[in-house]
Amino acid sequence: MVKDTDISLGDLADNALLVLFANGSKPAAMELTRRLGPKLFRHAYYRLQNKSDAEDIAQEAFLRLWKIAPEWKQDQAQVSTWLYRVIDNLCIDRLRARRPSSSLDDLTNDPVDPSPSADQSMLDQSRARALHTALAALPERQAQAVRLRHLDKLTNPEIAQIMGLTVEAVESLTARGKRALQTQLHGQKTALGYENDTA
Amino acid sequence: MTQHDQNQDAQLDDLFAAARRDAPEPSDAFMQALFDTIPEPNAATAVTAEPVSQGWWAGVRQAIADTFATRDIFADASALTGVIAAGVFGVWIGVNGGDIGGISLNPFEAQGFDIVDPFSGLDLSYLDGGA
Repeated sequence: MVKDTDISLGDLADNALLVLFANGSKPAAMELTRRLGPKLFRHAYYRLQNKSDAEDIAQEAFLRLWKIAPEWKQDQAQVSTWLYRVIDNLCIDRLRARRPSSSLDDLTNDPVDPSPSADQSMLDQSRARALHTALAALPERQAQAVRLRHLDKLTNPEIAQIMGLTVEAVESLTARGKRALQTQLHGQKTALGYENDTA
Repeated sequence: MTQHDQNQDAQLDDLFAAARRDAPEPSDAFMQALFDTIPEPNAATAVTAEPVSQGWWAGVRQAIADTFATRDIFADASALTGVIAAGVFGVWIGVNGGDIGGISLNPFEAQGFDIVDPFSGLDLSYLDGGA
């Protein structure tokens, strides 16, 4: 049996870490948390646009992971894939529970940064808001595929696993999603700091 | 792809990059909270320790249970071991003529009565066809 001390936990695949945890290794669970926690938090944040909610959702997802760890089948699914699915479902539930009018009000308003990069930070913030607003107007599956591909930077095969689609279907969804975003954001180019090309 | 399309793609990529930069970094407190969700390993499935010493009867039961458990014939041999042990005990009583360590299991004998068959001829009468 593999023990924590025999090899570096950082070299092990996510699934192997979960199996180690199920067999009594807390350090394996900590490594898995360090590896996936920040990614899953950001994934939830991209969707919810609220730091506190994103933290809650990520915690809930990990609690569920530890709960099912003893029954985890290594060949069944990737741990990260499973967690992304759980996060997506929890986000949907959270959004449904929100009042409709609060969806844009929940955007975080961090204190203004007085550093020289403050202008860039403010520009990023306004561009991010515009993008998230446009994403929220897309059909759910299109928006999900675009977020996973272009914000979470996952590969098409990974997205296909998470969404239960073929790679071709994912490519189609993201392409259509991007075109819809471009159409929506076309009128805001100047406000977002871009030259308005007419070609 | 036209120059216009390329510009649009580049601007959209720029928006994605801005959204990634705008996302907050997970705080140390949040990461600690995530670590705190990790339960103590095997807490739910901890096996209680066996008693240090056990009598010979418990030993017999355990040996029978182990035999079935290792053969994986029955999922739960604990009830079966009781039945088998009782059977073995019964055979042992039979072999010893109902006498366990000088104590008779015959209730009449134990109270000083002799066992007498009051209808000793009845069996033969039945065999003959009755009456």
